[in-house]
Amino acid sequence: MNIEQLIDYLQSYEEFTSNVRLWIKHDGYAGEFAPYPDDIDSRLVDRYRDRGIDRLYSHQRDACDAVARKEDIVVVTPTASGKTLCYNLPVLNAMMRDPEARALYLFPTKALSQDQLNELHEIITEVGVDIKTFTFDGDTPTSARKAIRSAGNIVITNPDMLHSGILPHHTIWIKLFENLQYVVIDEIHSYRGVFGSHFANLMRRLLRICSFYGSNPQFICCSATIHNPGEHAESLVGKRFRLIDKNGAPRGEKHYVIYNPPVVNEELGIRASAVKEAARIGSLILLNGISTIVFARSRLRVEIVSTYLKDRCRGIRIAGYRGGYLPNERRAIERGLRDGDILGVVSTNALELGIDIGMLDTAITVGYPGSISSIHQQFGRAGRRGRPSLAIMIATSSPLDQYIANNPDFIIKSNPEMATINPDNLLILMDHIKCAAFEIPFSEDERFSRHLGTTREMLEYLEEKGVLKKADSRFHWMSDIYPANEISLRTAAHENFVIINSEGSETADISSISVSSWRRQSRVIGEIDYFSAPELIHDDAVYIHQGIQYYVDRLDWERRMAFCHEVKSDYYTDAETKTDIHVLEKFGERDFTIGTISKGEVNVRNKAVMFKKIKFDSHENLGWGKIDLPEIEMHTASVWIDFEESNLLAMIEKPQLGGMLYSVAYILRNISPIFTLSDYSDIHVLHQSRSHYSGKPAIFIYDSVPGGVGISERIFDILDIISEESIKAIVKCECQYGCPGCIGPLPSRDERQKEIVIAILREFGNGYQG
Amino acid sequence: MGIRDRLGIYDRGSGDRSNVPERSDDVLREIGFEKIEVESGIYRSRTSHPVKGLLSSDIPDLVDYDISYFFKHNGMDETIPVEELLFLDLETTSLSVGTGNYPFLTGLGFVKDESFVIDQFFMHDFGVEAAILRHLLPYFQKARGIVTYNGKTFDMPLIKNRYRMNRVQQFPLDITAVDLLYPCRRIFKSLYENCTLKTMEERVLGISRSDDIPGWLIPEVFFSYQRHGETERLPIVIEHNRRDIESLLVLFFVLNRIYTSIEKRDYESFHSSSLINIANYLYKVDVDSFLDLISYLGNEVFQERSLFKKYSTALKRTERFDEALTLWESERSIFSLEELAKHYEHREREFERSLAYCESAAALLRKGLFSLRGERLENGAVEVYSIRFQKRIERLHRKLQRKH
Repeated sequence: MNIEQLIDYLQSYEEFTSNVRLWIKHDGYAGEFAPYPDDIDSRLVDRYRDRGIDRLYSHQRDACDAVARKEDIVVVTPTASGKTLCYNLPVLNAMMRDPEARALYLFPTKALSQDQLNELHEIITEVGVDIKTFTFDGDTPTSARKAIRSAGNIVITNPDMLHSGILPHHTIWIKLFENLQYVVIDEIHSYRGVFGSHFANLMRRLLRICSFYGSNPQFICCSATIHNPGEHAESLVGKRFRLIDKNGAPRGEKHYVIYNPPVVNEELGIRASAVKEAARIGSLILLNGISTIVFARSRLRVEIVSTYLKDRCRGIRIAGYRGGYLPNERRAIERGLRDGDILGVVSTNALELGIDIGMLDTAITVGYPGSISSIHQQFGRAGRRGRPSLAIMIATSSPLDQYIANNPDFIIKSNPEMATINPDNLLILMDHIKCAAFEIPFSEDERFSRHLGTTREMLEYLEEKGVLKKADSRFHWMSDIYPANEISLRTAAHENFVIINSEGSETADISSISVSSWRRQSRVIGEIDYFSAPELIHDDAVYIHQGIQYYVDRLDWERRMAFCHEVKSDYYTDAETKTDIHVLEKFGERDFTIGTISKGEVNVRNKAVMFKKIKFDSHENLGWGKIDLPEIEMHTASVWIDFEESNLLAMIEKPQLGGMLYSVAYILRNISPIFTLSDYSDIHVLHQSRSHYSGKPAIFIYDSVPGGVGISERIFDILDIISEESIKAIVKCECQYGCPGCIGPLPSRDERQKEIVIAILREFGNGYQG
Repeated sequence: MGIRDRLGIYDRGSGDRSNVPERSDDVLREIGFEKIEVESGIYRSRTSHPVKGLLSSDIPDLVDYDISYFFKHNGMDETIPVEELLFLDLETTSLSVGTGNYPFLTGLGFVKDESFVIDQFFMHDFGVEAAILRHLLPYFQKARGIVTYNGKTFDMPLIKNRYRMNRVQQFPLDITAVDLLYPCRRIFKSLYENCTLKTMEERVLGISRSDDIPGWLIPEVFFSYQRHGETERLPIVIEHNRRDIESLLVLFFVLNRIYTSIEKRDYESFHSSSLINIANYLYKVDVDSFLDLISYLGNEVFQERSLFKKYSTALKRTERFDEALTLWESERSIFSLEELAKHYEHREREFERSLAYCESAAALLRKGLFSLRGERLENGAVEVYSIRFQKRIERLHRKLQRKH
């Protein structure tokens, strides 16, 4: 079968179509073209013509024109629409005119930098000009660094290296900063949340240094499809941007399919494993000689799916691709995919970014990848020129996935998410003000954060702490610490815990082995965020991961590791934590019919106190144990809902109050990530029958990162939409009394529970006075 | 709640309120500083001692104004007169190189009229840095070389940073940097526990400082002065800096004397380990001196495998083949056997004899040995050598056939 026949076959194959929740077809598009601009050096144009690029796609031309007009631009077009040309053409053109000109390219990963280096080298060699292009990252040998600093026309690096290796040493990069004409930032959609907030501050630091050396670079940004690319670029860089989003690249017919595995256990609402379904569908495709890429969320899942596929498709070359593989291993896989030597690849979202693997006929996504733009990226991997393509998302049994399976229109029709960042998160801001002060002393009236007053207050605070010293109306760095080394861009504050299967380990003292060593042995089965660890992986917990039960032998709190072994247990553990939440400050509120919605800052204190052993099926309590772990305290941003108790009691009896709050919180927590471009673990919820703050029944939804990154703030703005969608999810869920797929597992089988939750959610949209 | 209160909650713990330091003239004058530019407020301390008086009496005739050997042995064509050298040492707010590291004490030493003058400049306030840098310019501009210890990676980049950061132009960026760390490493490497200036002082110069402050504590002294006006420990830091600069001068002369001794082939005063180090680097710069030193050291030095090879190569290079043959025969290792085989094949064209050496080598290789003394070869090396000898044997056989 070829791809056309495969699509026909699947459309008429009942066993497949009966599980299909959505099948839509996008017609092909012939594309829109434009000639090369006149001001581009003819040698450059000739070489691109030699490569078969006779003319530009319209968006490439638009980009060149806007850059020529000295505008800062952000280009937003789908995968494989020739985005790199949008920056390489104007940058190389400028370099050919002025050999002293410099450009800085930023990519989120080293692999992407390497790709870009190869591409630039090729074209520069073909043109035969002397434009020195280097990558500068942790792998760059010391001997090469000096030449790169003084002679590199194009320096390709990543944010982490810019942060700790370049900006704090700007004096030896004087050539770059004095002559910096262009800053190219690709994949800006990946700079969101904490990472994005750090990134925005990094740009503030970069611009500060540029202005010290008298340069004023133009920014060329590229993004995958997100809802607010222009706004996002503006908040990342702090400048006005011209948005270029009219795609001129042609594309073939595309089929998008949402597939929900069949229910295998009616009573418990359990569905067939998404992983196994992926293997089944994937092998059908591969056995017909059609290329495919399978996206799985975790590294472990990548391994499982690729094992299944290799099993079923002997003789066909299938590769796994994920973090943890060696760079040359990855390069070989990328090459194999481009050349067609490898027919199938199973990957984490590592291949979602613009790594060049050519195009494949089909893409399979196992489990909602966490955002609409991600799924567009993954689907975008399918589609050879002028050929139809097929992209399938297979839903898992998580509430998020079930929501999508039941509301498939959502994924195709609704706007992709907003990328949210909060560059003025106090902790992140303080980190970067320290770095910036290290780089160049702050003058008294200098603005770094959005508000002048915040910058000033923070400088004064740091002076009080003795970290800065004010002299001659400037704030100087006064510490022997190198601040960039203390600050990582990719995390805020706390590390994750790793879960290690230490079964059969030969070494007696397993805790002396390093995490990286466990990773090498593939013993790490998962990671858990700092705030969830005490509940889920305390000593003697039964931790369920990918359907396999593990018994936690020991939690090493200091080293952030939990050691466990696989078991077949007839019970699971359920920790009881005492969570206390106190409102520190309210920033805004609005009333609705049965209460008030507020946003502000809270202090969350968490302590796991004990756990219960609960028998599967019967939910019988088999005993309990103590948990002895430190209390976790965090200050963060939150949105909270206070209910008028009398209004609630009009709908339910008082004893049901707790359960009802639990259910409302449960569904909100599960649906919110879809609308905030965040991960499930980025927020937490808590309900209180009597809030410390208002004395009323309340639900808190708060950012899981200290200080918050704007997720709860966004929830405050769109709570009506989230509650609408939550209602849809509950209505469409096939369960009777509530299940993990909608309002959470409840011990009581109250038929009215779903109804009441819906009724309450409905009120959120009423009486809006915001 | 204000930002500061919120920060206070997030950032609980360390930190204390700073006091405004007392920057009275008195305090600085007490420790030997005077204000030399009233307007900008630059404080300087100047000391001056006869050069000869600085040097330890253990090493007589140290002051040798013929310092050409130092420059010759450090790859510099031109000798810079000692009066045109500037001896530099910085005390800084951090141990890293980066734009946020400030030299708060700059010490400069120079020889004038047989005296060693040390000028130290104290940045009592961050605001005077630019003025100090401007004031220092003539020192750097007049000098033809800057002598430091580890200055190539630390002091020099740092001072260049400061000129750039403060936009003070005209620092002579291309000034010759003479970093004593490198010659010290070449001569004393593996002789002492490390090659820090402190170790050099103790082991080479025979100086020990009893009341010194460890380097990592120095930033804290300055911070404490800035935060609380604490001046108690400042004199120790200033003294530390001064003595570092004195040591630079003495060490410079000691190194020069070492080079002079080598040139004059006077080896008596050296430790044998240090002679081995010297031999190793002489090999690179002066083959004749190298051969002379080896003949002085005698055969024991060949315990050091690399020296054996260097000696063998040096003999070949100077065409002293008889000595080379004796050397190789004295220790019939794989290395020597290969040299012998090469020699008899190419120079003497005695193919049978060459073949005999190859066979001996092959026998050693079959046992996995490098020499009859029992040194073993690593696995990979056995293969590499085997292939090489096999090829040579085949070629020799062909040559023999043709000859017959």
